[in-house]
Amino acid sequence: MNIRSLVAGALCALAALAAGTHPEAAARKPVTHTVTIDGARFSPSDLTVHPGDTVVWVNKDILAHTATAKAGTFDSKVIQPGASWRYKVTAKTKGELPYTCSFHPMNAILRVK
Amino acid sequence: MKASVFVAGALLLSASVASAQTNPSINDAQIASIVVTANQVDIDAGKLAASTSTNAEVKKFAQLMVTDHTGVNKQAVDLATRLKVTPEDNDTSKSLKEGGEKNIAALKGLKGAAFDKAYVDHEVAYHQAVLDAVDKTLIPNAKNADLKALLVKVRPAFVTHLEHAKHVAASLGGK
Repeated sequence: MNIRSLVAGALCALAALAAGTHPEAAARKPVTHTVTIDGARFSPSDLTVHPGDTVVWVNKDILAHTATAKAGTFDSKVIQPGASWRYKVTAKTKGELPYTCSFHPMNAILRVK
Repeated sequence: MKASVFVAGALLLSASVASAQTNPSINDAQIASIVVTANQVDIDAGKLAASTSTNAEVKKFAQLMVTDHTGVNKQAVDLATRLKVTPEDNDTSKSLKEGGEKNIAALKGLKGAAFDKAYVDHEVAYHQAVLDAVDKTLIPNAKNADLKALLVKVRPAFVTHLEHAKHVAASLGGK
């Protein structure tokens, strides 16, 4: 095997790796998502995020709320009216994270892909 | 039994908030007074229930009513102060206050499951009545844009409370 084919092979392997294994992860930059809390609702109530992203819950309601994962993965504690809370998503929490307000019957879901 | 007292109380409340509908001359100072009184009445009942009930769900709901209505009242008072509006007593706010006092007096004569049911049933009727008043009287009559906006803002909170109270009432069963 000569150098040329070796290099070509390595490039092919790299390309395959880049294209196949983590096609999006390589290109993706962390995104900040906003979930608005108003009228005792989370909006959007169904949000897909990726590890490295940040989710900011902004409370525009007249009531205090929380964003609390049902499985205990995250808990904002009290977010007062006009306040917000940030949560950085990690690879450890991949999957579906249903969450609620610990005071009010409000349901939403964060999908970590 | 005592249930009739609460039904009567709820009807009285509906009548008192309905009376404002027939009064087209209700002004912003009177609306502010109705908002503050309506919140205060529910805070008082919530405090009593939070300290009296032994049912975890009822206690949690009662504490939430205290927290939420205290928060709403703070914003209402802040707004009134900013607008230099002094809440003005009127027939509706007076009957709300009287109805609230009657409810507290009746609740104080009850214990255990009877207390829980009476408190929660009254909360359902109360939030429904206040919601009707917000929709039919307070929002349509509010002149100041900020006051109107506050009422519009507070409406979903009352809807949530009503649904929540119904849920708690259902969990207590129809005894």
